[in-house]
Amino acid sequence: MIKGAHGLAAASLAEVLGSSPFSIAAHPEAPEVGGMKLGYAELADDPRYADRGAHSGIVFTDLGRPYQGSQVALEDARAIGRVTGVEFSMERATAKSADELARRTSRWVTDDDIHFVLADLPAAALKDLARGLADRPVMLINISAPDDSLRGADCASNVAHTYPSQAMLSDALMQYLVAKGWLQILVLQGPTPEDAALVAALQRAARKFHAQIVETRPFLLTNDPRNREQTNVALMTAGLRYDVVYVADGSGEFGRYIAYETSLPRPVVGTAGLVPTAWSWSWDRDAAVQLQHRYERISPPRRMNGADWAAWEAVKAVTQAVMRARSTAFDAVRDFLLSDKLSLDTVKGNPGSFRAWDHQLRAPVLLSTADAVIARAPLPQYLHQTNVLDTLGIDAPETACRF
Amino acid sequence: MLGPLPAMILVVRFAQRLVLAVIWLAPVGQLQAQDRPSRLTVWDIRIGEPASAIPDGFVNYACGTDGGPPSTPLANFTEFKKCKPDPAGLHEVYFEYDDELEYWARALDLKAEIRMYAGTTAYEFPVVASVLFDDTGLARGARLVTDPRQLLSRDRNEFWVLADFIRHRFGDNGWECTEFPPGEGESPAGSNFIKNHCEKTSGGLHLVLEQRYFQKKGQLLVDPYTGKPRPGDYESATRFEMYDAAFPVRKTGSN
Repeated sequence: MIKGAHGLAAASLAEVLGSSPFSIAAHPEAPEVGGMKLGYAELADDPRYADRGAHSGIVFTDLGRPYQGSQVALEDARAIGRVTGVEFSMERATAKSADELARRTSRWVTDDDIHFVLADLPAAALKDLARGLADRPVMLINISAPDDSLRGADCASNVAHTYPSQAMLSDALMQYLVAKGWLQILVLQGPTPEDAALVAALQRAARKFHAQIVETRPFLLTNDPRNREQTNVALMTAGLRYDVVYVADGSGEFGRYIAYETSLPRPVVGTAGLVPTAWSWSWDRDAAVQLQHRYERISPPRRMNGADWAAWEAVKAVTQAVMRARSTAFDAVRDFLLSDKLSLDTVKGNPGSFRAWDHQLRAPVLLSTADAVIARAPLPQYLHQTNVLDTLGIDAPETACRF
Repeated sequence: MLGPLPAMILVVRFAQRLVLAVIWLAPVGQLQAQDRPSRLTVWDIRIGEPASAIPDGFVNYACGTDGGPPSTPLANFTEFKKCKPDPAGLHEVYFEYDDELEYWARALDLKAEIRMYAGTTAYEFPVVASVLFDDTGLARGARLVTDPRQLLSRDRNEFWVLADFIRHRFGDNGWECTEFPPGEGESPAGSNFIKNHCEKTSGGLHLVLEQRYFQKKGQLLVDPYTGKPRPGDYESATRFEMYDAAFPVRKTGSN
């Protein structure tokens, strides 16, 4: 955003880092460093990016692939690298299956010295890829799968997660509901497994924060008059008392017609209304506007979404680990990355680090409407004995992950 | 104000030391204050200078809303005429401080610098900042109002204290202040009731400063129905305006 040539306008640190003649290699204590190449793995036919959420040419949900998020951070890493003598770069692999990705990634390790791979994959594919690379010196960084199972029973020691877990997202929302005193929750649940997972996470969060789900009512996407009780919002929200309506609708098609249609005048939260998210384009604190503009510059006309943020954060995490570990060696970088020495800017306030028990990145969660961030979790009312960010998601004593 | 060349030299040095500090873990405190780049702030704007002479080093220009959120976006200060004049004939242009240094300080995890470069601030208090231009494009005034939308190091509970910093900046003496009694339904926040209006003319500037810390009618620290705390239910604000002393001042707006 810096413009013109006056004063600090010309004095962007990015520009300076990019053009400074200063050479770290000339420093007597300079570390032995060189190139740091990262990988980026994705599926060509990832169902999450199928052409959905768009009708009559109008896009209702932005589910673009998060590769551009990684490129924003890579630009920053290259600027730093020009000073530190580390050349950051990235290889991208788009494959038809997890098996093919495993073969490609193995070749990366052998031929290209790539050990840190951003994984934009659904849970099942990520699980397969992690298993296929279990004996290789590779760290996968999950940038788009929220599934709690990946941080629980299906966790893998060679996977870290910058994308928040579903438990984190649900806890963030529940903290807000409880803080507002909206303790009685009516749940409207869609038909997909993703919707069921959302509700399961909500149930866990409700138990954790002592809220009550007064009833869970399933809805259907149909116009069959025999199923009117599962399609008509006024009918579905009538006949009981509640403070707030939670909608679990991964499709986005049902949820967008719930607000202002409920039987009681109540707020809507979940996948519609107030949504817990890793990122919102409307977040404007903590240098977020700077990040947003950098993203929009290289990825018009898209706005940054949660997975973009997670991809950006993954590259930043590796960059910082390289800088702080003063090495590009896999073991050194990995050890620092997963250590409590990591203090990673999240552009959301609290600094992030990876949880030792499941490799989930601690990071705040935004609670956002369509065009404004209403709150940032963890809310100040919620405390934790070691790190307030651990009030979000699965804490050490309750983890099912065993590396 | 630094010219472009000295500023660039300073930033080059700063960047080198930043990276050295990060890479070799040298104490960041070793960085000399004079080596740190300084971003433009509201204090770098001189009352009386034309819009075209104000350095274009801020961001997110927009028409102002009497110290409130931005309205019509502008390219820079020179588009001030797009903003509807207030009753005194002044066009209010909102702006924010550039956050690029904050972005890099965060990237390099430099906590002191993050705090230094965070948000649009005065004395680390988050503020809505604006410049007031007359029809000829001269900056006739500037306005700072504490901004509860920004979450920075200063809590909203402290916002009324900014007035003390500003009062000290322009000299503690010579202020003519009126302390207002509680209006209907107004009461102290805790044990404090602060509601004043101060003015001072000094150095060619007419200064107007208001402090607020109390509860308005309907604001309660404890909900009378649920018994639960309502922690944000109070006013805490500072509103500051400085005008060209030769320009007729209008009554400031808060109550």
